[in-house]
Amino acid sequence: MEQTFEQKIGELEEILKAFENKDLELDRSLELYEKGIRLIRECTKALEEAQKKVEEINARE
Amino acid sequence: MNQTSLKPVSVSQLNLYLKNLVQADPHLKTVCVEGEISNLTLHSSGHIYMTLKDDSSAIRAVMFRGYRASLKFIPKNGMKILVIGDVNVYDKTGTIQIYVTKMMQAGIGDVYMQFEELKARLQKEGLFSESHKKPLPKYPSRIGLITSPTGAALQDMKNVIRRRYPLVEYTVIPTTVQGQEAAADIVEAIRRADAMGFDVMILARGGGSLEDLYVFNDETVARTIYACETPIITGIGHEIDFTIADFVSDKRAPTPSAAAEIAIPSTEDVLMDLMNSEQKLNQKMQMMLTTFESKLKLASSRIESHSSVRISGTLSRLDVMKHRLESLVTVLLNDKGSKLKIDIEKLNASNPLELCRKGFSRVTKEDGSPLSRARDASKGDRLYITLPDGRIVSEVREIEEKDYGTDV
Repeated sequence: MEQTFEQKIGELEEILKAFENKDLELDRSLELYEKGIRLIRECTKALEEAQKKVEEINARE
Repeated sequence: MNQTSLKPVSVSQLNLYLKNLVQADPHLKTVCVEGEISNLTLHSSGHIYMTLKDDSSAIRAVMFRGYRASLKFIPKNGMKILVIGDVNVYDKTGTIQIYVTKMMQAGIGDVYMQFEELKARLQKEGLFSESHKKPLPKYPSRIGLITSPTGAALQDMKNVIRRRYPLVEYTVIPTTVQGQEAAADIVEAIRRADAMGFDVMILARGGGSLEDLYVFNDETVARTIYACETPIITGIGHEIDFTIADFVSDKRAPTPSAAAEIAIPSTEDVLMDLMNSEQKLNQKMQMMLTTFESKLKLASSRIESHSSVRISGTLSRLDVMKHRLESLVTVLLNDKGSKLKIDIEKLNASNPLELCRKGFSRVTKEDGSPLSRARDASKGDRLYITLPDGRIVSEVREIEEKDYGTDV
């Protein structure tokens, strides 16, 4: 199931927290980094699309 | 009493004196009086004149036009009311009267008491406790708006949502929001909304009179809000209005618009947060890489130093061994040097070539046995003299024996 926006942000926060762990392995950190950047991209895109949609609707009205 | 000592004063002077007296008394400022309306005159000028009475007494009262705006009911004779105002003397008639600034129905006073009583009771029961208040989600994806489908409150909330955070999906749960009968309606709407699994919901109503908002002071409404699984924000009336529903909800907003703003983040803020997160993530990853790089450097330098220590250790051990060996040899040489020299000389002395050089040679008889004494040879014997480059065959002519004092 597709994650909700809040779940994505939640995971992102978890990832940022995971980096605090001193025992984090390099491979794992790269994995987390990739995931984090992907989540940020997805969230940003979703927001921008929603904003665009509203602007379109407002323009029609 | 001397009558002539009495100096007459005018009526005006007396009334002015009385007026000053009354005005100077702090107890006669801002009094609250309860009574029944009689002799009511709603004057064309807008002023209201009446007599306020109880079973045994009466006093004149006036409310000037300017204060009528706050009136929430039309006064009628026989009505029990509560007035707030200053007591003063109307000097034209010498009448003491109450100059009313606020007038309310006595029943409303009861309602106020009921409100305070319910509030105190529910507070004691823990319905307003902070620990029961649910945290609001930061990024809700679905919100429920419990309000009148035709009210301004809904329009206000919709505007805020669209402007601020279009990512959220909202559902309107319609309910009536006015009148005592609305309580059951509101309770039902809250329950229904709670079952719909929203991330957060808003109970809202636009501004109105105290009576209009009174349904939000209903005990059942309060208990329904308390029992909700879903976080609930109230946005009822205006800033100044506090209802029981506001106390029991997870978050009270001063207006419906404010409730919507509290419920959702703004897109700009979220985008900013995301940008910050990205920056943070990059920093952390960079730090991670730096850490690993330095770890690697440390590890390799440790390996190097380990092995170099080992090598230099081995080298120095070898060195030591070499030194020991050398010194041993030196000692050995020094110690045995002379002996060795003698031996070498001895060896040289017995070297046959060396002996030959001195003139000695090996002499053998015909049978091959060495001849070592003159007396072993006889005249006429053949003797062989061996030299490094050949053999001389000779014949004994004469034997001359000589004693060298050596026992041969």
